[in-house]
Formats: sequence, C-alpha cells, structure tokens
Amino acid sequence: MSVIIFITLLCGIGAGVFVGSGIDAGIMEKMSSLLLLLLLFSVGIDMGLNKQVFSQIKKQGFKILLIPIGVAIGSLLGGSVVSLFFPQSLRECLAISSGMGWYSLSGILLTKAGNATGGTISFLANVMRELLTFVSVPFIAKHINYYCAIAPGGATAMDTTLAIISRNTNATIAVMAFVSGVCLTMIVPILVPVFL
Amino acid sequence: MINILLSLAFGFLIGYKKLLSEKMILLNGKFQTLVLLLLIFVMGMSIGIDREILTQLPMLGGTAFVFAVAVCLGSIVVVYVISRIFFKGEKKK
Repeated sequence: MSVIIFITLLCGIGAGVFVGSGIDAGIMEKMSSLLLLLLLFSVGIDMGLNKQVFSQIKKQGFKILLIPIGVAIGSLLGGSVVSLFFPQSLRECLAISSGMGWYSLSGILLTKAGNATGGTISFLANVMRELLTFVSVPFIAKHINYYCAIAPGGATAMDTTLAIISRNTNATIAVMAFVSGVCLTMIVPILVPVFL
Repeated sequence: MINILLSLAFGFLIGYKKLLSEKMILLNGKFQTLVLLLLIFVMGMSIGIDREILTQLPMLGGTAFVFAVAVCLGSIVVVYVISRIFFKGEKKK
C-alpha cells in the first residue's frame, strides 16, 4: 500500500506541475474537501459496523489521552533534535514542530510573528508530515504496532489521514486516532505561539 | 470541522443501523481505497500547481523534510513507549 500511495502522490504532484496555472487552486481545494467528506463518510460506516468500538474506548478511559500527549511530546522532542544540527534556534524548532501537521495554520502563525523563513519551513515541514503519514502508516501498522500508526498523522489524524489509519488498523484504533487528532488540533493554536 | 463530524456521524449511523448488505460493505472498503487514492492525487496536484511552494522547495525543502522526518520519528518513538507501558495487555494488532 505504501508504494501505491507514494506513486499516486508523485503522479499527483507531476500532474500539478504539468497542468501548472491552467487549473484554479480554488477548484482543487473544493475537490479535496469533497473527497475528504466522502472518505470520512465511508470511514464512519466502518466504525459503525464495529459494535465493540464504544465499549473498548470506554474501557480505556483517560488512557486514550496518552496518545495525543505522546504525539505532542514526541514531535517536540524530534523538533528539538533538529536544532542541534541546523541554524534554527531551539524555540524556532519547537514552534515549527508544534504545527502537528496543520500546515496552513502553523505557517501563518510563524510568518505573522515576523519570521517569514520559519513560516515557510513550518508550512513545508507540516505538508511533508502529512504526506509522510500517508506513505508510512501502512508500514508502521504492519511492522511496529497499531498505536504507533496514529503518531505521525498528528492533528491530521482527525481528517485527511484518518482513512489511511482506519484502513490499516481497526475501528477502535480509528476512533482513538480521531480523538488524538481533535486534541492535537486544539493545542496547535495554543502551542505554536508559546515558542514564538 | 462540523462537516467532518457530520459525514463521520452520518456514515456511522448507516453502519450501526446495519443498513448495508454484506456486498455493500465489501464495496465500501474498495470505495474507501479509491477515494483515498484520489484524495492523495488531488492533494499532490494542489502542491504541484502551487508556484510558491515550487520556488521555495529547493532552498527550504531539505530543512523542512528533516523536520518532517524528525517529528514523525519522535512521535512514533514516544507513542511506542506509551503503548508498551499503558496498553500492554491489549492486542497489538
């Protein structure tokens, strides 16, 4: 699956470069929103079919929140390691890592704070995080464990990358991924400014 | 956000109320893969047509990529540790 996704992604980028400005970016955005809603509808059906989802989630209780907390801590740790090898300061690295894959917001926050270069890096890094998630989740689910498949998606686990997680794990993990994505989406606007 | 919740909830209800036949459920899986690939293709296209991304990619793309890999690895490692400690008794697959 990872390979197919990677090829599809490359074809998409290639098609975009080839078509160039011939297509309005607004139309692309409408198309991806529509596809996303269709996809989530389909994921919702899968979740509903599994009757034990809620009892399993209930059984885990507060433990479910450990996943988004772990994703947040792990992202910040990963980002701070980058500051050891790159000219960016630790604060800047933490601000970029706090994007959790929400590229539109994290980029703008840094740019508005007067760091245009940091804003661009953050935008690109968080776009790439989402793309890496698409490519890596099938591999992670197969070779590490299902919980880890929630991790790379960050905030996107509640929407764009939810289907790839659900497709490669099970309904309970999909619900946990959604919850994790929602939690991380809520902390991005709070966490990024902390490091600016 | 509200749209996302609504489509998930709508799908959930249909699944929960068993409104679909076995055949439709199988078809839903195939449909999901197809739409997922379409979405990834369209997202790739949006990146491809964005001139701004393309001009900045050679300069800042490398750094951004390192960040993306670092945050993914960091979060996977921490979640792995958490899953081994707190979700031990549960099946891993």
